Amino acid sequence: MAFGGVFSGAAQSDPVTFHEQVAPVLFRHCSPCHRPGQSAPFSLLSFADAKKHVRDLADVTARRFMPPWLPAAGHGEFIGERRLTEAEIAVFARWHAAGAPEGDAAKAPPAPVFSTEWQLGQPDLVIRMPAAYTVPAGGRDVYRHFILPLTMTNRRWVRAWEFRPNSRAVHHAFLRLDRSGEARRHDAQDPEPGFPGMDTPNSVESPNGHFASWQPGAVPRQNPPGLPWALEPGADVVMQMHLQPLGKPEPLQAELGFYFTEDPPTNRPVKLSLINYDVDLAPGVTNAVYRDELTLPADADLLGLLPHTHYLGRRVEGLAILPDGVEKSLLLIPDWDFNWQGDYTFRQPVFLPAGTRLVMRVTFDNSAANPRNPANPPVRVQFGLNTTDEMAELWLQLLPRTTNGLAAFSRTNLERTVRDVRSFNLQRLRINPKDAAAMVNLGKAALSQGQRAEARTQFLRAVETQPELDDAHYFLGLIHRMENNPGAAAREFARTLELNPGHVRAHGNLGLMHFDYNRPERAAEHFAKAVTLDPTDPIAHGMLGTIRLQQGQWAEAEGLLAHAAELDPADPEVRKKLETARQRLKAGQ
Amino acid sequence: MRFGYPLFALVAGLLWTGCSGSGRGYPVQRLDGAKATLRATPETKAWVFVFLGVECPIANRCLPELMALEREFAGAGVRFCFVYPNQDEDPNVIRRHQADYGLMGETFRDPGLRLARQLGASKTPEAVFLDAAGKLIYRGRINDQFLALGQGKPAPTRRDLAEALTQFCAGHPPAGLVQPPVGCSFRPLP
Repeated sequence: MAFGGVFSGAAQSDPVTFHEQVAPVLFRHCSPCHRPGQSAPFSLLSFADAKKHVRDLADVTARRFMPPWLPAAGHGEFIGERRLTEAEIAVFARWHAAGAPEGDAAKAPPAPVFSTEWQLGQPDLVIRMPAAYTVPAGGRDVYRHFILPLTMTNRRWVRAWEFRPNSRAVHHAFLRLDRSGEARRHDAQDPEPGFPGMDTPNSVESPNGHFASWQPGAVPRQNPPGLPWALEPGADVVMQMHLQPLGKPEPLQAELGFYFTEDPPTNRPVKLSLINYDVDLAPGVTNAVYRDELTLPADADLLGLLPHTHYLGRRVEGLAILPDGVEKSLLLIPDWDFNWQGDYTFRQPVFLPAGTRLVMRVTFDNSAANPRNPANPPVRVQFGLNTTDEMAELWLQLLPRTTNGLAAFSRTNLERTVRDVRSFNLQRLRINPKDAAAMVNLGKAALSQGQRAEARTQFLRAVETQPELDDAHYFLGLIHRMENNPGAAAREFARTLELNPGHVRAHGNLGLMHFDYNRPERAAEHFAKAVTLDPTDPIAHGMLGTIRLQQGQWAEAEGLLAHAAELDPADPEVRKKLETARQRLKAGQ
Repeated sequence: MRFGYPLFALVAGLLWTGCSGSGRGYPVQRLDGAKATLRATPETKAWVFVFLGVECPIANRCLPELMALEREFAGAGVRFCFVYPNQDEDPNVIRRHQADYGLMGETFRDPGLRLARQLGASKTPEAVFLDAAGKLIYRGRINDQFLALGQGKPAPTRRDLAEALTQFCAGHPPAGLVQPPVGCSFRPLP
């Protein structure tokens, strides 16, 4: 007892010096970003550095603005946590109060050594922005997508990746993949490198089943063992970045390093989303809560979370209600900050049994008292993708425990995706009743549920509203094909190609129709176009290979079928034909 | 004896804040090291002192707006003075900063914080806007984009300094309006 009392009393009055108490905390929590070449505006690597900033160090740590880390303690434990303990915060406060004494350099911990190279060693593949973009000196924050083309010819499995922004202007970034060429088309329409906005084209997606975000201070991302994600040949990597002007024009040429594994995944994580599309905030409203929930269809381990809202979101909660009624907090962000958003990977996966209810709650403040409100005076804000709109999302990365579980998750995922597509596009139509692309999306959702009449209604509306929309004609063609109206289908596909000669699926469908009607030459023309436009289309490769096989062009058939088999290993027909092609090739030699 | 001077300076600062008086002038150090006292000339209709720090991200982000304001209001007789108060930022560091950011205009140091104390400034960036007679018009943040270091919104929704300048030129300036500055503390004196 007495000893403890003496001890704690001594701790309170011990002088705090840089070398003894401050340096260990500073080197561990501040220096990784506050050093040359990183995102932070100044270095914190030495006594002199720290002393210069002592007052602000004490202030920003006490207010928990730095190091930036949004989740509250006691609600999920995550990899890469940057939260200071109360004792660490007190070190800065006491050091400031003591006048920032240096102390005995002999007691200093070793100064941190940071590699200026890739942190996990030389990557297997490095890609970079083909040209530098100049971040303007001033003005608003910039949201922009940049394309980093891939050069490899085979699918590779990514076990880890590191993003190097090479500029302090990058505030956060999301890695996405585009196999459609859509992002390139957007890029081509903008004279500068990349294209603006937060409204990512539909085809641009996160790696299947994974989150991929970066923020200052982020450590290189390593996927759990057995869970690499795929980089497909011909795809583009699209980095969506939030850029903050620095006061002078700033060149930006970011790069990405990938580390591959030869071993394909042994399991497949799935992503499910909790999203509320009804967000509609009257000016001045505070404490507006929007929620969403889902029930787990099978046992799963929760690997990670990605919360997302914009500037009016103030508080984000993720909650699991187990089948026995016990509530488990998964994530609490009491003071959401758009600037420091990211995804969170649990230190230990959280097991959740089938029947668990997962709940998201996002609280908004659209009053003038919200200092992050982008509008002054506040205005009505609804759901949407731009920063002037709002969102309420919590994405979950789950690993089903069994194959049956995976199938159940896929069904749940499809149902929820259809629900999301419907809600999102109905919302788009409420804001703009002439949004023909939204009508097409509603039609697609109906078609995926087998509701052909409803789908047709939407596609016809879209054609009426915007006659030159290629996809509206394409899907009308598809319905005609399903209903065995080849003439009408062919007309719609032809119209699609008039409007967009690069429409892969229209080529593919025309190819299939010509093939069915025994016109292999014409079918081959369309499949050849499809193969050129999308090197990852397994059907076009398989069909063109089939035609070449019939034509006795064994070598070409072999190449196409081998590629098709690689793109879709589960297709037994393709494998059989590939075998035939190989046998003929051998026999011919 | 040891506390005599700083205490005197502090009290003096309090007394003189906001009513520095044209007669007293503004004590600064030029980049060549020479001490000077700035005084209004017949052309000076008003002063805007802006305190800057080489490493302060908020100050740097405000520079394009500050340069635009200087260009816009110089013709109206508003004299902009950019002041570097951090003692460790020597003239070479300041010149490099100006070259990096394309910052022109009158530039001074205030390593002893004499001017800062006289004007009541405490952060970078902070603007002190005075009329020719030395009466405070506006003091504080440049705009409302930032809430703290590392915290902010995508663009300002209120440009406090610009508003005060516009009102001044329209003939109805605010009287001694103060908005707390947001940014980096002045460096402690060794």
